[in-house]
Amino acid sequence: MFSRLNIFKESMNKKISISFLITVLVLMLTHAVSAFADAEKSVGVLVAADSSPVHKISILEVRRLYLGLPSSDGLIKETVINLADPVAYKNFLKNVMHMTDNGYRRKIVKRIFRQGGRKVNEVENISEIVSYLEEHPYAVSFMAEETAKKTKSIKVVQVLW
Amino acid sequence: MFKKINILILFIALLSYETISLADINLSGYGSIVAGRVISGDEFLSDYPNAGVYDRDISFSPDTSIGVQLIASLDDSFEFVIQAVSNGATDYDIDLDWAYINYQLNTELTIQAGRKRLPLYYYSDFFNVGYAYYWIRPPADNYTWQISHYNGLSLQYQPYIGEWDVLLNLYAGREDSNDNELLSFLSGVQVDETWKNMVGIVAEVSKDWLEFRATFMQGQLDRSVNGVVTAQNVKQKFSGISVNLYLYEFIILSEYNQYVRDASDIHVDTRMLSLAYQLGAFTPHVTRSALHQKENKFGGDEDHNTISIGLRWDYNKNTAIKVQFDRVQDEGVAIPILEDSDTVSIGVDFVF
Repeated sequence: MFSRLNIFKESMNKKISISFLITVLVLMLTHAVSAFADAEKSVGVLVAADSSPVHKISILEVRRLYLGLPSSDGLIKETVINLADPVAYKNFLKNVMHMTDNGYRRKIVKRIFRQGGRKVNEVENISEIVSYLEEHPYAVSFMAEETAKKTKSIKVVQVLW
Repeated sequence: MFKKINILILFIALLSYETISLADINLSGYGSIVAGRVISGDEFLSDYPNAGVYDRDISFSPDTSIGVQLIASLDDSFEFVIQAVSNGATDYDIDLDWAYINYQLNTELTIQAGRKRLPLYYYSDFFNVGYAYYWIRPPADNYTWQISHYNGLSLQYQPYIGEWDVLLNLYAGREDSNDNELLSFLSGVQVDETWKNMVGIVAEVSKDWLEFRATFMQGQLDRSVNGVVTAQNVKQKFSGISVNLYLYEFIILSEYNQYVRDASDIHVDTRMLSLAYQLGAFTPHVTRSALHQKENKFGGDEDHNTISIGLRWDYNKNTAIKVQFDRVQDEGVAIPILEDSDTVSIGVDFVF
């Protein structure tokens, strides 16, 4: 009798364990899908001034430019880091630079003082980014696509993420 | 002599470009203000190249330094780079760490002529830029060389290889050091040192989570002690590898280097392993480094290791505050390097 009861308890425990695992898996999948959906919603673009001659380049080249290396055709002379939108900056580091903020800063500082590199411009205000791009037609920056759509005097050069 | 000629050539080249304007000049810099003292033992040699030594009194001199870099663009592919550094360990004398002309042959290839830091090991060419690493100073056991610069030519190749950053650097040159800081300090008399016919190569490959660096340099050494020549045309070889991993918040840094001078039967191994964990703006770390030179036929040996525990706090995007404890065990018999010690240091690193 007791052994039957134990078997029943064990089978119930197994069922509970399995159902618990399935629940966790479903929750994780739901979270992953929603995160993926969020990532899909968040689109980032490379921008330049309306009047800029800058044209589409590969994302690898964007990465090199933001590491302080020259562009392949020599057209893009400057890059601007958009600190006005922390989410866009985070996505940029993740999807284009493939590194953390600390890692990126460490890399830039090393390049500046080991190889005679220049500082990358950092701007904390969208209107200042636009002004900078207007004054420097060979400069590029990045921002969320929605911000770019709402902002005058700039053009989208390409989608980054 | 070579240093003076090189700088003269660079200035003549700069002056020949009359059209240079302020807009073509880029100024940046870095600094470290560090205070420390030995809390057990007598002395701690924290900066070998500049002979920076802490003792039982609080001192700012051994690790404090400030550097200013000026880049003047002469045209789209020609630029002049100069970096002046003042180190507390050398009584704040201003030295030229870098002074060279850079010519961009194409987007992947550049050539430099002039004075540069010698890229012997991983941190050699940004040794003074404290902001770029989490310690107060790179592990002293690994950076014990008396010569830190060369005057000559350098070729850098940085190709596109997928998501990998690649840097190949070929260089050649020489350095003359009269009354060398480290050797004169250790021997107590004037030592003049020349490293000549240096030819070296550095290969670096990195991506977001991995850095790999391999280096090799060979050359010849001349030395005179109190004006008496003690070594001439002695061959020496340096080699080293470094592997760094950045696994999310976890950082693993490592180095293994070798130095060989067969004529003097000197074989030196240096190694370092460091672990750190990034907790937001804070990076606690622990490191073990060691230098081992086995006893040779002339009776010389050198054997010391250091355990370092520290914390870096990224106070803002341009400033880091650091605190570090170093325990040195000096097991050298013929060549003891200031014996066992415990040292505490605290500092601020900044870039501008």
